[in-house]
Amino acid sequence: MISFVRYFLMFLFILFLQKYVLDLTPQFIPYSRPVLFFVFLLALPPLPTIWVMAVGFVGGLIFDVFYDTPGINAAACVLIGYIKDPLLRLFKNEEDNISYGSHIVYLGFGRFFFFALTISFIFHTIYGFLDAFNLAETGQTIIRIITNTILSAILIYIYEIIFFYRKATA
Amino acid sequence: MGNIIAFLVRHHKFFIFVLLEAICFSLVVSYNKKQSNAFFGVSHELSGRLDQGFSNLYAYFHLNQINRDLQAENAALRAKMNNAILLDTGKTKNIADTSIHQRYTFVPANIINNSVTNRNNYITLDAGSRQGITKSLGVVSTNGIVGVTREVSPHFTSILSILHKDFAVSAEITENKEIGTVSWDGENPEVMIMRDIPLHIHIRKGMHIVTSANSNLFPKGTPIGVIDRFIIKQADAFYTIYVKLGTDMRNLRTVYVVNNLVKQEQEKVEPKPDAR
Repeated sequence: MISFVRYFLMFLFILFLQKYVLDLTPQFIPYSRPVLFFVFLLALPPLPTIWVMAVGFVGGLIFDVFYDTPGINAAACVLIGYIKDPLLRLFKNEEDNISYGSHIVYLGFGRFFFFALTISFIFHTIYGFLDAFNLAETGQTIIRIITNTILSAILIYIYEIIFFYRKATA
Repeated sequence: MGNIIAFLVRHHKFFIFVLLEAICFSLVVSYNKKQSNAFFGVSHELSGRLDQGFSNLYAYFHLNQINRDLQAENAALRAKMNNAILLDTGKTKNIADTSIHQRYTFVPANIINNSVTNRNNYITLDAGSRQGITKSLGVVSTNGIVGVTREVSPHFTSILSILHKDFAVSAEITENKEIGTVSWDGENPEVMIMRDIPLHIHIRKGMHIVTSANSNLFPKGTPIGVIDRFIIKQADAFYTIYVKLGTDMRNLRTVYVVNNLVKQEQEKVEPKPDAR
């Protein structure tokens, strides 16, 4: 129960951070948008994949409500929820004992960066194509995906270092 | 059933994932204006193409009917051509609308039996007196003359093919208006013989042979063929012209029976053959 409340508060914090801090920063790379909010899926306590997907769906829908894009963020978040555990196993190459909540401690600095890059790439691929929704602007969409992926990966990395690494080492 | 449930349970993650993504996708296309426009635009396009494909397929099954309709239409159009019309300009007082009378009508028919290899060949049509066909009417195809109706039953017609020893038609060389007679010598079903062109007339290979106005079987100018070659037999005052037929008699499928509406009137004033 306490962990649920904590998680909910963290979700609100991420929402606030995304909506009122990151979205208001000036766009210093063309086409880009600093997106961090799907980090709420990486911060989940240990749960079966189904629940991860369900949280992704609901959380994505909440963000969709804020951005007036019903379904787009939810679709991307559900995919991340589905693919997160297999991806972790791929990076760590271990069959069991996945440590949830602090992937940066579990994977280490180097691997975690590539993990964040992969997750970001998946998220922005789905988001980019669903948002553009036509293949005529594919070139522009791909540029957007690449810049957003790099930006998001850096943000996730920083976020995890600030909020999990210190806590885990403390 | 048990297996299906076991399968669903084993892959429940994937199915729930697909379900959630499907919900997301339906949300995307139903509540986002741009996306819904694109999605439903493309799906309408796709379903339209699919419908078109099926309609093409169905059209294939109805080709018989379509062919029949086209034949009927062609017959109607042929009846409107200039050479099917009797110009009635001799009247002292003409009213524009009545100066043109229908001279020929055309009955479409399919060939159901045909031969080209005998000395005397006959063709059978699937149309008969019910369609208004009578004896001694000309039969043409798109590319030229085919024969003359011989026996008529309510549903079938027997045609004396142009490949018959009794068949002869008055023909004319388009280029110089010389009139001769075309008949078949029984050798090559692609070639007929034209006679009665005097030797002083200049002819050459490739000239077009059409029916002349002397024939009351066929509209004037119905194509027969082109001059393939010509020879001059010894002590003969006329050319022997080999005419390559425009009609492929072996592969004939559809023909039109020519109904000459003024034939009886014309015959009434012409001397009977036995009275000559």
